[in-house]
Amino acid sequence: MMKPFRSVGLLLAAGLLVTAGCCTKKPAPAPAPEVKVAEPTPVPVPVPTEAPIAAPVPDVVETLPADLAELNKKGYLKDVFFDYDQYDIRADQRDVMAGNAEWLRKWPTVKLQVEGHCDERGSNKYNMALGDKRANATRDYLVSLGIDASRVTTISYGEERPFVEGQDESAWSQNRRGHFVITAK
Amino acid sequence: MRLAPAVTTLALVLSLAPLSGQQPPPPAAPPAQPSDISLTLSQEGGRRIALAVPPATAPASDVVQSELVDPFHKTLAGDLGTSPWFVLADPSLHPKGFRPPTTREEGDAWIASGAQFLLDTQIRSEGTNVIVAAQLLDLRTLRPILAKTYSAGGASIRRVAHVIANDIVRQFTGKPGPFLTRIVFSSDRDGGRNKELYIMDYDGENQRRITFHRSLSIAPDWSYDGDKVVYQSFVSTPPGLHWFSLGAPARTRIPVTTELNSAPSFSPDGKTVTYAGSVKGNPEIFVVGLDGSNPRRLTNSSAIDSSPRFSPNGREIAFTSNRQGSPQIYLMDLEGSNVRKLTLTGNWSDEPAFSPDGGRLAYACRNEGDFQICILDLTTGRTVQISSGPGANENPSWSPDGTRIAWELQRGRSTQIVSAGIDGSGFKVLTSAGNNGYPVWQRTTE
Repeated sequence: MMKPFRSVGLLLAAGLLVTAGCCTKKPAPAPAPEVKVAEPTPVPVPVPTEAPIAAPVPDVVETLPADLAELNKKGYLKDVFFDYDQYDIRADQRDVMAGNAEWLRKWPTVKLQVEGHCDERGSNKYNMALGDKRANATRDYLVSLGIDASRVTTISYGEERPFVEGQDESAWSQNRRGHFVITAK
Repeated sequence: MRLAPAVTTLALVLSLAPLSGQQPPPPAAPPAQPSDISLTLSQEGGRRIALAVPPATAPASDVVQSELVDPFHKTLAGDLGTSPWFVLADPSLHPKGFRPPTTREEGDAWIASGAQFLLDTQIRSEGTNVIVAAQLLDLRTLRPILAKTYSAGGASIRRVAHVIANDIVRQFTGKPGPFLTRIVFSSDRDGGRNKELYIMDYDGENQRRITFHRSLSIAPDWSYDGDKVVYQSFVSTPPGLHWFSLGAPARTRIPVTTELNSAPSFSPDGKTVTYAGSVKGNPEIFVVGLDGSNPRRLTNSSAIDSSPRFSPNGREIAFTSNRQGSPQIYLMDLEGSNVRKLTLTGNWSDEPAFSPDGGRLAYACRNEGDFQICILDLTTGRTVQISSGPGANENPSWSPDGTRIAWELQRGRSTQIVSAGIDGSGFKVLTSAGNNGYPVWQRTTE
């Protein structure tokens, strides 16, 4: 979809912005630790780090909200929904995934976490594993559409974080989802 | 200080020998719940011991009544009334007085209330200490088969009641009941979308918080010696396997390279845990040392593998897999070989829990409608459903004496921890604040 502000003036402005951007550009920061440890927890696990990736400059004038919470509220990335006890990307979800991949190609510095969620009808412990399958199926599908795998992490919440309360198919179908959280931009 | 039984009539204990050391017989059909005493009696073929448990006698005092007699009686009658070995005589039929009965006529008055035995207790103060004298009388002979005096010391009167109840059960079965055991569980009562771990007494008393992550802390398991708890924590990404010793402040994360890291469960020796870990988006069953040493992957299937539990002898692991279609429970040996399917019915089986003797498996079972709690006899292959009625029943866990199961029951938007005998009798709701789930019973009896 064409954006309405692609005027000559804005393109010039974009050039200025890009120029300005290039001079102040810092190396892409390592993924910020998003974990709030509530108590002293000895963690003998080395934190995995990723090599800094040089951020290509966006070729459009659009800017994303600076604040990640604000950015995530925008809903640029659309949830993908699953069938009961299934983790393959449904045919009717492929357009959604294509749109998500297009947006991620447009913003190549964006990193994200895919959350796998389940409805409450299954059992807790199996669903925790099912959510892992869903999150990874979603990630793999993005990768198949050309998104760099290093940009996408996954997490399962099983049925611990339902989006909709309710005990009917309407609620359940909305809770069987892959949900995208932008973790860096 | 406890005194030895003043009198023990061994012959009378021996006359009850058929009960000794046995588990309660499984019922012919899943009983209705909550339990109906008369129904239970007929199902048990009258094999339960009829016990009269009148309130303790004590000096007349409002304070003594409310602080000692009432909580003592509620606890003692609650323990023995939900025990599979006993049925309590109807208190409204208890004779007035005759404590203890000293004549044949007085004894017959107690027998007329439906009792074979009378548990007669007295509470008195000695200085700042509380003393409870208890005797268990055979109403046919009017002779005590157990007589003990208990000094509360600093302990609560509830604890004294649990100790006495354990002694009564031990008198008939040779083993204590579950009355001094505890249950660890996960609760969202502190608000937000977080869950923290809690511990409570087996009867739902003394609920107290034991994690403070302000995150999701779920699916705990208790080491066999009762010292450690391991659980899945979302305080870091990916979620991790955390453990701690009760009474120690340190919370330690087991270093693993897998993701997911769900449903950890201790080996009987407490040195390793089995858990579901994800490798490249594929959940598999692992065993790893508490310090992260010697990680071993036991399954190799593109399907979902989850919910592992060691067998009590430590040589096998039960787990859930959808490798043949619907989620069902399988058993494998510690090398990951010799995989065989255990649950052959229903369209969804998960959350296996071995009985303390390893002979049976409790699990969440579903054929149609909601999940129920089933018990599979691993010798006969016979399955009995112990829950019934509306609501989803999940995450069963055995009491260490093998007589009760705790599980989580979701009705509407409320999920609470409940427990019942393994025949479904003696159903009790143990929690009410917020939502509560993932109960795991301590594996030691005291």
